[in-house]
Amino acid sequence: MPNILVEKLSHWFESSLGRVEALSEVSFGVESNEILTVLGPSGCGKSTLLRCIGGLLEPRSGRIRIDGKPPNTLRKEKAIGFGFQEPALLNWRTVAQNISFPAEIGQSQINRGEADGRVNHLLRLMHLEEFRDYYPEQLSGGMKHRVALARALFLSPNVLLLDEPLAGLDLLTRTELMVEISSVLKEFSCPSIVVTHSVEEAVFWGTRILILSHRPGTMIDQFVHRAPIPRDLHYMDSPQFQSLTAHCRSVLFKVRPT
Amino acid sequence: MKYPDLKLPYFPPFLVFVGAMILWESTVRLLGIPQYVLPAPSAVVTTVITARSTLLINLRTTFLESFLGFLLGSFVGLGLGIVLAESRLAARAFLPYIVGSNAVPVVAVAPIVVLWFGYGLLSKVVVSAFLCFFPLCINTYRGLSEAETTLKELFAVYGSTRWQFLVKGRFPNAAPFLFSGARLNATYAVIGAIVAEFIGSNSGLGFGMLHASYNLDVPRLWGYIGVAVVMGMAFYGVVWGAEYWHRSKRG
Repeated sequence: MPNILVEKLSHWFESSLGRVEALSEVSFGVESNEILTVLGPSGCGKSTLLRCIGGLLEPRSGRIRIDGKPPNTLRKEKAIGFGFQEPALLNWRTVAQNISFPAEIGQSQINRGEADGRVNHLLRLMHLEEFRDYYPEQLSGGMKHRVALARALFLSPNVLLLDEPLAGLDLLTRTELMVEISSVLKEFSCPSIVVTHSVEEAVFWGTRILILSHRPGTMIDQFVHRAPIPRDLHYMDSPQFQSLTAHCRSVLFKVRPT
Repeated sequence: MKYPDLKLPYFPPFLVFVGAMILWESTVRLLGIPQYVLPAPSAVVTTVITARSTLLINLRTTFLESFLGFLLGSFVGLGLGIVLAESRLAARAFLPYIVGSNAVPVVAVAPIVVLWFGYGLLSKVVVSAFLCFFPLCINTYRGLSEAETTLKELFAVYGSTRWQFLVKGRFPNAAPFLFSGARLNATYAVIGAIVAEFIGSNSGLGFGMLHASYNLDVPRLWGYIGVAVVMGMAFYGVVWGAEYWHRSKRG
């Protein structure tokens, strides 16, 4: 059985303009060591999907199981690593304190020595060592995203969910971080779902790519991407990468309403 | 020759003060304005120095009243603000009356409070607290309600309890609001105490002002006003200092 199982997930929001369909009968599974990227246009329900899996939103219909349990149970066990679209750092805490934040919340608090060890490891991994005692206001956008990712990884989660991990960054920083995230995903090798609207990011990170249609999001394509991970910048020039991104584009634009 | 550095933070206000004093003093002298209309600053300072012993006693009274009023008012305001932010129902039910309480003319309420709590310390503390619970209450409520969805979700994703979210998330997030409420309170507390002293007291800056104006001792009245202002500013300064320290701790 896959580690993450999503069956016929549908969700809608009630607004003053009536019902807004966000997701319609989306089903998939994510195996261990698998990195699933969910690609889709803005507003196709990608974030809604991730929130449902993360136990932040109760879907209107459908079933989600992570390691056989409902998301809410895992959330309370602090077994989910979640990266938000904005870095969402606590600006009254230093970089190190932001990273170890999950330890202080909810149940099962880990001891200080172990927390320190993990913080140090993550600071090294994310190239944040010199910024340990900085406050979020003193960091660049890319650095903030690094801290947010380190925080999501802090408790070595059973599953990692990332919502547009490079949102709002300039192109150079995006490219740099894209490569770093690929190796971080490899290093932590837990089943991961990364949501993005960028074709390049989706193909670059994913070992499987799932494409959602315009709202309401339904699955319109899904394929496996076997190139070994982590991938580097050279890989972006390879024919395989080029043809996969071209494929994604053709799928995406065919279904775009005219 | 070395000029004082204009960028020093205390220098511009100091310059304004000295300029205003020179202008005031020279206007009074040149136009020969009688003392009961507008005393020169030098006359005010002289009176303050001569009357310093009574003035100090009055200052001590008002200081104690407004300090306790500030503490009580802030405490109540903070507590009420938390309740309003925690319960939507409470906010709906009480907010209109809390806003209304701010519109109550404190000069009219003070006699009632004095009637209830007597001429002593307690009535002054109550009026002072009444005046300064509102800013902190509203600012606490607003600041705590400010927490965005992402902050909520960040806490939720790690199974945060409501208490943890309040203490570790919403409170530190609301710090700028809390401090601006407390800063307002610092000056309101002094005003509240003085207003209550006007109604009925036998000591305090308000009592001194009233006494001076009955005796047509205008320089002394001005002196009391000056002392009250300095005390209000000192209160404000202490809160501002606490905020500055808090911010510097955050880098």
